[in-house]
Amino acid sequence: MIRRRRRSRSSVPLLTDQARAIPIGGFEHARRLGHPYVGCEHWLLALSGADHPAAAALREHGVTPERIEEQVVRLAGGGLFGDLDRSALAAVGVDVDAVRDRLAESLGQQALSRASHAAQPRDLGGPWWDPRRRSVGPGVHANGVYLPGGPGLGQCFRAIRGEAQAGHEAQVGVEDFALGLLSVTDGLLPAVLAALGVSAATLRAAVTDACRATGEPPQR
Amino acid sequence: METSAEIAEAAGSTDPDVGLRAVAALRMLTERLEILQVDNARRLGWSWQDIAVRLGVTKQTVHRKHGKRAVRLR
Repeated sequence: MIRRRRRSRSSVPLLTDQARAIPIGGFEHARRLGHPYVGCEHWLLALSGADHPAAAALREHGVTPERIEEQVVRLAGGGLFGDLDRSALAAVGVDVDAVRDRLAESLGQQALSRASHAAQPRDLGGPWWDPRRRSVGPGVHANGVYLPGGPGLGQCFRAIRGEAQAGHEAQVGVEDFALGLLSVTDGLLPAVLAALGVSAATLRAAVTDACRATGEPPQR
Repeated sequence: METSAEIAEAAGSTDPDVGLRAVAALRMLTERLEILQVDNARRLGWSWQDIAVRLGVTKQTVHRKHGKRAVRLR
């Protein structure tokens, strides 16, 4: 009989409920935007809308879900229909969102993501990242849909784990996600923060102060 | 969505800026829809000939445009 080796529990930190909502929310944001990957920018999008002092600190510095999404769509495109001239199409009676929703319903969101990926090299002026050519970071699988991890996501995982371990915390919390995300140097996230006019160092300090002030676990 | 007549009327806008942008956006939208539908048809086992007939082009045209991508779908 082959006995499967059990993975050490200490190597896989457990997430708090609020922290668990971040990768799930990030996955949903990636799907909604029609992106063929999950990146740190999607996680930041999910984090920034959370009801947590770390998220509030980000919002106070202008890192709001709306502003992040605007920059992510600008930098990575908004999926299959993201770059279409919505106002011009609305003028001729075509509601792009309604078309997208209808197609997602009939053909499935994954078909849209695949087509978005197929359309990018020729029609969208080239993707900033092509998952066919480069596979980095862990992927995310949920509800029968798989999205590969984008650049920076693996780095982010390691940073989050490092934050939790350095704080001797039993669980990985939202503040660990925030600090982990803000230490990522790969992928689209640094460009998003730069476009928002805030530095990662400033945000890290703000998150640390906010968590300390509200009695969250002490941060470095 | 509006009726075809209403769309046609709006597409014939007297403001060239709106009209031309609408035409360009419709062209791009059609391109995207074509990718989606051709991929779907190939996944369902449709032949290039069947797809070409529906699109009103030759088999060679549709294969040249989508063949390389659709191979990866299998």
